[in-house]
Amino acid sequence: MATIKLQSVIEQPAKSTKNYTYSDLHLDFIPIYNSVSFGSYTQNNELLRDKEIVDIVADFDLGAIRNSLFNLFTTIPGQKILNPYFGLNLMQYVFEACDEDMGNAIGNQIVSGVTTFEPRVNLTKVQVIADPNSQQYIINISFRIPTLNNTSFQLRGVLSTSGFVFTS
Amino acid sequence: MATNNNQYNDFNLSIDGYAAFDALSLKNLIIKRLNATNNYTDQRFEGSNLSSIIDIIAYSYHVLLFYLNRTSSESTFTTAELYENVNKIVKLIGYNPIGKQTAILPFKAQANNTLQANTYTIPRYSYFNINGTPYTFNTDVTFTKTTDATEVLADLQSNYLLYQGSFTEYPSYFANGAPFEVLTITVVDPVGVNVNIDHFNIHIYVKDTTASAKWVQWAQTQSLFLERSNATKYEIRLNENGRYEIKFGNNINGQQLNTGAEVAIYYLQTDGQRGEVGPGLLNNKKLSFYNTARFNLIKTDTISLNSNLLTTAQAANITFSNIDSSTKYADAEDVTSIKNNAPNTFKSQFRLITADDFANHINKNYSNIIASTRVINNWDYISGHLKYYFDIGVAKPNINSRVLLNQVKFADSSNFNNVYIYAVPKLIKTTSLTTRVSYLNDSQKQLILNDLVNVKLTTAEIIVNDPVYVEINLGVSLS
Repeated sequence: MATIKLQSVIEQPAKSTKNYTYSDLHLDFIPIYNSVSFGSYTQNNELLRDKEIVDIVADFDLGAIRNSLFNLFTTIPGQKILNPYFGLNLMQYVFEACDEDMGNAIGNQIVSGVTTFEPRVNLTKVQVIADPNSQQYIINISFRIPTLNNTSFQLRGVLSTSGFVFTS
Repeated sequence: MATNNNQYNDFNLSIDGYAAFDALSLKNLIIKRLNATNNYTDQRFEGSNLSSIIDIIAYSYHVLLFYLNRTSSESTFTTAELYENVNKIVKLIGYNPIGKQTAILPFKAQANNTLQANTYTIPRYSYFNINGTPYTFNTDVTFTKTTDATEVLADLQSNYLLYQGSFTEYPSYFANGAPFEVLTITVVDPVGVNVNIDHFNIHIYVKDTTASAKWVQWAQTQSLFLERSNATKYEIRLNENGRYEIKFGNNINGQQLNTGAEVAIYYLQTDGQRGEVGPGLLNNKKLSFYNTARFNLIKTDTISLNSNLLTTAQAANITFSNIDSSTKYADAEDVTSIKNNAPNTFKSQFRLITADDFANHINKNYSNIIASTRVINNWDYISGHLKYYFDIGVAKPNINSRVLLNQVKFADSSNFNNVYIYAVPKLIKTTSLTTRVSYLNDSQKQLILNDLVNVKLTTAEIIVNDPVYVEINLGVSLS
């Protein structure tokens, strides 16, 4: 029987007994050394093996969602191996004339992409400010996360010829 | 699909379930497993870092599984498709794929009255230059002029052929004395492509290390394992890289090379299709003698002392010509051909017993001369070929010129043990100017007979017969 998957209708995780709702890997991988006394890479000591088995750093809740948004903004459709539709081709805009019209196009692209690929957030405002002098765009995104008590969050990023980065 | 699940793991997978995964199904399984553990949650969101890692793992697994499948498929005779793999697989059953086969040219020869009656030998590798295309004798050619008058040299033109290409000297190889020593001939053009070497014209000469040692020509064998310990023979194999490997014996099966023995290799480098020539192009071309310092030493050591080597002046008294085109250049065996021929060769074990054995051997080894072959015994010959003549009203089929010619030249008085080979020459009529060659000429027949003598049933007498062609005329009436 065929299975139809809608990107926007994804089973939400059950409420965890832990004090977070969303958890994602943090990249690059970073081991959590705080839990062990030596706090360094392997000691090559078989007897200390248990101490050396440590977890890696994870991102939770807003951090996890921020990962998703960052990946969404920096991925060009076709780049993600098993989902060629994923991603926004924002880099196509940075070599065009930097003006308000182009900012509107970027904003529309962001609204469309976040709605499709990031079902956890409800966008409340997307503001794209063109900065022709620096040939870059300041992007302010405001959103609510219903599963996190409908809390409001704001993220600020910069899209330039060097790529996209979150600044806050 | 297997129903038994592996009871020793907790993944509830069938034992061979791993083989059913592709990238997407593995991705779904990983997500499902992560959902169950509840340590991470974002595996279900396409934008998460975790999803990217899962994609990479699933896709890597998919690619590895593809190569596993590919490797498995390419390891068996029935499923392998790549030439390199098929070539290596058939090595297990002793099959040596045939390489490129050069064009062959039958010729006519006539000596004038200046050349005295005598027996002469044209040294091997002597050649003609036909408008830039070399045609070469691959062996010492001995013929007899019976009178002092102008004479057609029947035994020369009936028993020998010219091979397109020129013999090339490979640098001397000095043996390390190991059992089953293998020497790979590596000759590439400036862009790294293997040059065209005729499969049946690679000649090996060996000179031992002792002071009195002379050059000796070693002979090729189908398999060293069929040879005695002192047999000066070698195997030739076209390997998976399209290069020839020369394998010597181990003093149990074939003679082993002594340490330091010098090995000289001469191979016929062919021009491929460019080397094919039409009728008449050999006419009045001058015979040239092959001449290198090493070859002259080899010639001195290997040619019979009684040989009367033809001189350049004497050669000028012989007129060579050709009325037939050369045969077609044949490319190396491809995968399909190897798959057809390898089981047949394995079945016959290098001996020709049944009619199919004969036909397969001829088709495999003479694909540059012959388009198709049919082999029959004497009973089928009488009830088929001769009866056909009776049926069409020939009162005495045995004196039909074609039948008579082959009987006289190739048959003995006893016919019951005859094996008749009907061979259609390979010359495709591409234009109305191309003359179709309907029959093999005597030298081509003799070439086949000489080869078959070593592998045929002892009592069998082989006659290479001319096929019977049926002409069909079509009339069209327009009204």
